[in-house]
Amino acid sequence: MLYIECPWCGFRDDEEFHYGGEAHIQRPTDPNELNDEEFSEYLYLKSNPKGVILERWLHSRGCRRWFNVLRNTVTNEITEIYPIDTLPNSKEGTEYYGQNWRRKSSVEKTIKPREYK
Amino acid sequence: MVDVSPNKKENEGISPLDSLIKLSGGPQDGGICLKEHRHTGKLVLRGNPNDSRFTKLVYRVLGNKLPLTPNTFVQNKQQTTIWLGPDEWLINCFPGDESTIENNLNNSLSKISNSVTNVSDNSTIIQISGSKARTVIMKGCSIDIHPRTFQPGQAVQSNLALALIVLWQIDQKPTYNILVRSSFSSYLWQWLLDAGAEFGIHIEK
Ligand SMILES: [Zn+2]
Repeated sequence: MLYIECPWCGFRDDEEFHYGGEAHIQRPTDPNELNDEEFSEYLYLKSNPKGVILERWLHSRGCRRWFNVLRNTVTNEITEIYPIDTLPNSKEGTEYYGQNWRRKSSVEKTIKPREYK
Repeated sequence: MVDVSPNKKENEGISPLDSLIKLSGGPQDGGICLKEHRHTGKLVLRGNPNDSRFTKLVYRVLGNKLPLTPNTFVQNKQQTTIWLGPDEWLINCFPGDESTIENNLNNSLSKISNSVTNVSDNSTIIQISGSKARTVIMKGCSIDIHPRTFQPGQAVQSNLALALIVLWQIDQKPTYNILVRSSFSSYLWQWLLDAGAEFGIHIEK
């Protein structure tokens, strides 16, 4: 069982949380500008790394707030928890975000970069 | 919250627990004492706690500060205000008082972004007290409610026997209030009877 620290409520059992998939997937500003291949890249292609990943979690049985998590898929170790509307702060998280294939995807070329705090 | 409501409305209407609570009584020295707080008024208030106009106006209506620390609540003679999220609170008041508080909040917050929702009939409150109350809750809840970490004034949202609840501690007896969906209340009541059977149960009407 994972023991996850909600940024508001503190440490709780993972049964109180819902997994929200990969974090920082930006929605295309105008989906009509994309061809089918590009749109399916946005809709279906998800990262599935062996190692660190940035993902979203929801404290569904508690305060019902979303937040982001940096988790290692091999060890399940969570090394960073940060607000839903921000980018990771840690070296590991920043590197993963910058190097993720999505940064170069056709979807992200068509949209205004999202403004993070 | 005061035990005896000054308002008769508590005894009006029906509760899913009515048929179960017919069996009131039991040993006075039982390990736990169960009681339903029937038909209390419940409002969900949302707003920005960083906006001092919001917090000041709410203070004027409620007569106490909004709890801004996660997992805490404040209470006065009129109502209990529980932290539910960084911009969300539950106000639990005497049966029948909810419309007045709702109107007062709506009137004074009319120029500020906010929302007040009457959720009175969504849930009911089961009070559990007594020397074994903590042990019984621990049978079905993963929250650490040992007095070292959980004291009167604290509240949590979590699971109790898989039912979604809000739990808050009133006093050191200890007495806890458990807010649970009305449709889950008879299940939870029966679970509490089962979990508390070994300690003896007193049921208060
Ligand atoms: Zn939480």
